Amino acid sequence: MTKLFSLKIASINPVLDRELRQRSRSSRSMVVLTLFLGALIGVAYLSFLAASETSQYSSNPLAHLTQTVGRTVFETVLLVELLILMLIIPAFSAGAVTSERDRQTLIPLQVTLVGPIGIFMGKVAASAGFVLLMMIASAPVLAVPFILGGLSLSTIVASLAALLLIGVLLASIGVACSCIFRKTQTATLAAYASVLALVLGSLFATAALALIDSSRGTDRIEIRPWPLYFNPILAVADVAGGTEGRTVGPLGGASEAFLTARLEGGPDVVFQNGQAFNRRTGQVIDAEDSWQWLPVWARSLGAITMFALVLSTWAVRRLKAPYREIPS
Amino acid sequence: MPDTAPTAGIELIDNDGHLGDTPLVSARGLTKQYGSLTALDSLDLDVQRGSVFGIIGPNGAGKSTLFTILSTLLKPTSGWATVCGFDPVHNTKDVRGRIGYMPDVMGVYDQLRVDEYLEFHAAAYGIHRREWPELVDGLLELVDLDVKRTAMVDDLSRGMKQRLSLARAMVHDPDLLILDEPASGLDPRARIEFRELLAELQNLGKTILISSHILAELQRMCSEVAVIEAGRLLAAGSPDAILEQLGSGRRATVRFLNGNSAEYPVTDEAEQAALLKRLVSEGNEVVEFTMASHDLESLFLQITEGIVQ
Repeated sequence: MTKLFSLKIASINPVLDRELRQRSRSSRSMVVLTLFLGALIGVAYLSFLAASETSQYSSNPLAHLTQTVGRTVFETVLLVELLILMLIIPAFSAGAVTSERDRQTLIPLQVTLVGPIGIFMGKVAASAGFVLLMMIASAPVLAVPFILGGLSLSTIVASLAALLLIGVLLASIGVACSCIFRKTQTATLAAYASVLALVLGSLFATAALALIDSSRGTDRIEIRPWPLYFNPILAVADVAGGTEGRTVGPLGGASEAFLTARLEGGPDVVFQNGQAFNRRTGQVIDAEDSWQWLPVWARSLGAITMFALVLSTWAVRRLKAPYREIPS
Repeated sequence: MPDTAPTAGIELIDNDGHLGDTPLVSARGLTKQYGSLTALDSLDLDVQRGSVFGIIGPNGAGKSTLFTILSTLLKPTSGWATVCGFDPVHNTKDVRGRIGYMPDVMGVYDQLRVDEYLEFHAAAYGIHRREWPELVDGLLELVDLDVKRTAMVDDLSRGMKQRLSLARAMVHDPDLLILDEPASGLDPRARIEFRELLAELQNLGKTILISSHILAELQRMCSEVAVIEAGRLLAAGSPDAILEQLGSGRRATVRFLNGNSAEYPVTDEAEQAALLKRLVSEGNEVVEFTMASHDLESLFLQITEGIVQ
């Protein structure tokens, strides 16, 4: 880190400046980054082999086949990258404040003029910096499928931006857990539980709502999709073109599940060329959705942001001294 | 008694921005309860500007609780305090900008150099980066750590860490230093160095509120002391004044030629002279006449009961 850059950051947020200095001297970040890139390259290569193998038996023209391979590799790498982020970021961010408590450095920091919001934002920004580094490092791996075709540059950039935002939100959730809980282990568990709540909890909540409806004795199961907006996989799938039916890779599963829910069509809905049909009647199904003007990815990112904001507000309150009792 | 400082805030500061003769720290009826445990019990305290004020008490007496309240970290259950004219519960920023707090345990960051540690705290107090080099130079020189400028903080010895912690507390040139057990865990040499450093700070006009288990240290450096036990104030004032209040101050120890010795209480030098004259006139063969006064340690033992909460 250059001196001038460091001085500017220190003026903006001293906590961020110190965190970046410490991280730049630690080998931990570099090791994690190397493993992350290694895993992505491995996944990209394996998915390329698998997609090429499958395409050999297709009767489609060669150009279409390479596009299908490119799209499949892209979606696979994107999904794995998201899963890795969900695995790494809670572990990295959940110790942000608890480690300060353990090291007895939080109290001297709290009696300065930085304030609880400054401390929290500094910690989140430092974790977000690491997420940004991961995104920049992974961009070349995501660019490989671009050469094969089947996706535009804007899709790649938008997907990386969505991953970055989700990464920052996950980091803020991790740091928030670190402020709320006193021990690193508890905070890490809480951060992972929050991520699980977003990914699996949203699915269970959707299923639970459908079950409640069915128990009321209605002849048709109505699926209300709003809990699914909290699912980060949905946001990424939509940015990558999934919920509009353009997907051919692993994000297709997420998008179809969402479409089924959104269109309230239940198990009779089938998808073809981005359109939903009723299997029995053959009718095209349109969603009755007063929020249609807002893209699915925006709703999803908005919902996750709200979740992170609630936790962050709670966290900042926990950092605010004077306390009734000093957290040990 | 109201729970907020009746005069807390800027109104205590005169037109020149000074506190005048108002005590720099005041507490009235300060009480802190943790459930059924009373850590501070209606404590009244005044610390005058420029003084070195020692807080004496056994473990669990409430010293650290008092310091964390004054440092804006803890809310009292009842009563009020003012620090530099401000209420530490409601005017936290005003108080934080005027105090330097050194907790009993110095936390250190890994992967951070000594100069960077001080720069970080300078930035945390909003000091402009142009001032950092001069500020860091001055502080490192003051605490005699200039040779360790580029050393990693976690590689320093305990004594050096304590000195660095003091430099950290001084980074924004506070009016008041609140030092919680600053000499604990230090070897005798480091303790002497630390004491000299505090004397230097006193010469710089800093008001110091300090607690320590090592009472001889406090006796040497404190202009005033307060003895607290079980959260209650037992005595406050200059060490000599407290001894006088208790009537157990000066004692004359006399040794006679026949090998006997005796102790006589005396209140002042006139009485001391009269005693010697009387003993000699009575035909006693005095071979040694020495004055002894109670030290802080015996004073502490005399007025505390060893109550631990």
